[in-house]
Amino acid sequence: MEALKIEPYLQTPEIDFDPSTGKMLLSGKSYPADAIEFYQPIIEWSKKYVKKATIETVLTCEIEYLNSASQKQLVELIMAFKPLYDKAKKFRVVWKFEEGDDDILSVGELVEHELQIPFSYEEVTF
Amino acid sequence: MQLIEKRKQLLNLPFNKDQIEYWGPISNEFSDAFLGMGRLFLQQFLEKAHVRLVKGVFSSFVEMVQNIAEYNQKEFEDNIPQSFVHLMLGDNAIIITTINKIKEKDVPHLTQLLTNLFAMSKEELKKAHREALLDGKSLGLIMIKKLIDSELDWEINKDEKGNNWFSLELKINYGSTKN
Repeated sequence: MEALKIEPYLQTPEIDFDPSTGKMLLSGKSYPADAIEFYQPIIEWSKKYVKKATIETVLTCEIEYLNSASQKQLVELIMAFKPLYDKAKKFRVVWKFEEGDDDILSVGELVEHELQIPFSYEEVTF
Repeated sequence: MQLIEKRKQLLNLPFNKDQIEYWGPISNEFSDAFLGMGRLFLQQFLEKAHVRLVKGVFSSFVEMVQNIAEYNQKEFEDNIPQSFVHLMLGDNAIIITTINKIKEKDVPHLTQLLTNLFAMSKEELKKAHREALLDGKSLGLIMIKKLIDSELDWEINKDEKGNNWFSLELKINYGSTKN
């Protein structure tokens, strides 16, 4: 399976998903008008990856800004990886947020609570 | 600056400092470009403000503009109506106002939705946010309503031609979030 790489653009984040290491990175701003158009191919790629994955998978979300449409899509993306955690506890999320940005932190906490997947939190500077 | 003022007077245009005002069609394509401009505008004025204030203002601005664009695209398709967006930096608050045309069929639902939203406690809003993350319904409005140090007002008015206009005004106080 090939890696999934998308360069960041004005309103969309960088995507760097590496199936050989299990390290998945989503980084930057996300506020496209059509979030489904951006996220659906990433979600589809992730579903295919989950069927074959055997190593521990870590999804790092380094989020500078997230609009409501992206929040919904990000939940779907994390849900795509959830079978890895449900079957063998081989999935976790690292949720990085800008220092002082309690709103993005609380989105992470809400998603963690709702999906019952372990999150670890890190403050970063953008 | 004087030259701009003179030209605006000559053309009988309003002159407002530290404000963005737009009155015209808002589509998804337009909102992408408009939000980019709004982001640069806010960066200039809020450069030294607390990250929570800057992001709160920008995220609200995004949600309010994208809500209009999404509604216009869905309901009016190729005949996008005129909508209004106003972003103003005051001495103690930032005010974002949007006005857009809505169809008669949507008035009861929107009225009910906003009435419910405005009656919610902080905890109920948090619960609504959790639920909206899964079903996606009204997530943008919930995010705006949850914003701290802010006041949100809305109204729906009918004009003489029978058109319904939905107005949303968000006032974000500098309050405790200002450095």
